[in-house]
Amino acid sequence: MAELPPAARTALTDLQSFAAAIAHEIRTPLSAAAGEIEIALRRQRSTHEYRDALQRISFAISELIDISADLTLLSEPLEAVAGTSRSVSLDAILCRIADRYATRDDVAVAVDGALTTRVGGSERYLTRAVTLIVEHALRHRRAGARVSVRVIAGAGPRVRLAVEAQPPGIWPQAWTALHDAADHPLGPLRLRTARRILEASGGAVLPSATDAVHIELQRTT
Amino acid sequence: MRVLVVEDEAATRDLLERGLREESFQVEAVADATSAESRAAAGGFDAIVLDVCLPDHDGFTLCRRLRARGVDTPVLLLTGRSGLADRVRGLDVGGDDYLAKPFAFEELLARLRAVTRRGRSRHLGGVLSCGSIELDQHAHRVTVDNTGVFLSDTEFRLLEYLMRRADDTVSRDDLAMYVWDGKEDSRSNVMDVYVSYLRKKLGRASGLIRTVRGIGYTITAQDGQRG
Repeated sequence: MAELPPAARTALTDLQSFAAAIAHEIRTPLSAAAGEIEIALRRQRSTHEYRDALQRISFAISELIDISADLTLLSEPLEAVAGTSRSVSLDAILCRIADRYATRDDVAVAVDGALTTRVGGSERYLTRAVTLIVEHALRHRRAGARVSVRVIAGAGPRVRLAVEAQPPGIWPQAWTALHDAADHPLGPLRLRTARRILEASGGAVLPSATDAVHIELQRTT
Repeated sequence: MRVLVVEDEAATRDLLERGLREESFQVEAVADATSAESRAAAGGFDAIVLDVCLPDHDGFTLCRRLRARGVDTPVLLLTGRSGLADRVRGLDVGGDDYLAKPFAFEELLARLRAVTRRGRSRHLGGVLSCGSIELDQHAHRVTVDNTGVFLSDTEFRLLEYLMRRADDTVSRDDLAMYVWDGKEDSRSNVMDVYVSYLRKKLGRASGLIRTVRGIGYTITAQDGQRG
């Protein structure tokens, strides 16, 4: 390692950090699926119990599929992601996110203010970017905190969304990590993916002075 | 056996909680180090399963803080990092064992039994004995004079708790908390009913369980009815 030129050393260190981050992301759903299977097979169960276990395994596998899609996205040139960009309804994006969390009472998505707003990007990719940030907030919130998504600045050339943790909020260390990661090219996979999608769409993830992350999108007509 | 699970990732926490409950553990689960510290310091756990990555403080810091506060509950650290440096660090801060994710649930159970055994000399071999009664915590089996006795889960937990504190007077409040997980009032007659079931099933050894009027119960190696 010491014999490598500085640029190669940095690249290798980055690659090692990235590999560690990916391993961490994959390990969680993989452990969940493997654990569910092992526990389900420990004894005879009712059809209902097997069905519940299969649903949880299915959820873990969906997460692995999402991670695989995120990795594919990260491997593509920025231009390729930007190439999917068009004018899309912010309302449609927020409705898709609201649908995803419809059965949960710890996530609130306010669609008000987005009804006539159109933004640049791909509906699927932008939905994924916002969802990844919501998931990050959910993972780092304090017990009992709800996470909300709302439009906070509907006028001007940029549209801003806030992903906020309601009281008792998010662990301060998690926000610091989030903002540091936003500035770091090798941040956590989910934030890195969200950032890449937003940048390719002309948007950005912005650190906020409050306990929130702001997502800036480009307004279109 | 009462276990505190500290894990921030909801799916993993839920999995550990369900899996351990099915194996007759009593489980309390929390998602952050701050809640874990206050629960662990309050006592009453036989083991702590502690994830290293937590949102407020890491598991190593929590483990060190618990030891500094005199909490001697065995700690099994769970982590995604399996490197030597992390394993050494985990043990140095007061962890009793270390399990890298992803892990087999069977291995978690084995390690949990091992750390608990080491932490309590009365658990030698995982078998508790009191007079003619033997209770095998691993096999979930009870014998009286080497003859098997079939107990329900609640009866088993009740006998296990009394035997772990053999010769002590166990209060009704403690039984309500540790055997019924706080779901029964200590004034309820449910525990009297279960003690009665247990005595019937223990047959000739029933006299080892004595009622301490107004307080609770005790189990001793000497038969209270004969002695």
